[in-house]
Amino acid sequence: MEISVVFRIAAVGILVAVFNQVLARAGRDEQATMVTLAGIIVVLFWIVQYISDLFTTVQTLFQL
Amino acid sequence: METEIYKIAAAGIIATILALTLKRDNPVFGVFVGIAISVIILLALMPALTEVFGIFKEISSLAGANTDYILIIVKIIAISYIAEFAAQICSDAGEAGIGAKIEFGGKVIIMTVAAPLIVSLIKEITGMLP
Repeated sequence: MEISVVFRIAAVGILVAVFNQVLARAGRDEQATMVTLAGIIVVLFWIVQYISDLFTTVQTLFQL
Repeated sequence: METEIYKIAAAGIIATILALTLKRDNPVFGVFVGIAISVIILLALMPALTEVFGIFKEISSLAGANTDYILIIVKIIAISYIAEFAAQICSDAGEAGIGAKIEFGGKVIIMTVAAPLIVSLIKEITGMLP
C-alpha cells in the first residue's frame, strides 16, 4: 500500500505545470513544451516499471 | 484483512483529487495518476486473492474434482483481471475504443484457454446420454 508513487507523480505534474507557466510568461514557449515532454517521459518510465512489477506479481501469483 | 478497505478507499479518493488537479494543466498526468492508483490497489489486493484461491483449491480437492480444471479457472480469472485493469484505464483516459479492443482480446484469450475445459465437458455429457 505504498502511495508514495502517486505523490511523486503529482509532484512532477505540478512542477511541470509551474515551469510551463513561468516559461510561457518569459516568452520561451518551446522550452515549456520541452519541460512538459521531459516530465511526461520521466513519469512514463516510473509507470512502466510499476506496471511490469504488477504483471510479474500477478504472473507468479496465478502461476500463469 | 477487513481494515484493508479503509486504506483502499482513502487512497482512491486522494488519488482522484490529485488526478483532477493535475488534469487541469495537462491531462496526461491525470491518466498517470489513474494508472498508479489502480496498480497500488491491485497490488494491495494480492494477498487477499491468494487466500481466496487457497480456499478454492481446498474446496475443489474436497469435492474430488481434478485439479487441472481449477488451474484453467485460475488462469481465466487472471486474464480477466489484467484485461479489465487495462481496459478500464483506457476508457478512463477517454479512449473507450482501445479499451473495448483490450476487453475483446481478453475474451478471445479466455476462450482459447477454456477450450479444453469445454471439450471435456461436452465429452462427459455425450457420454452420459443413452
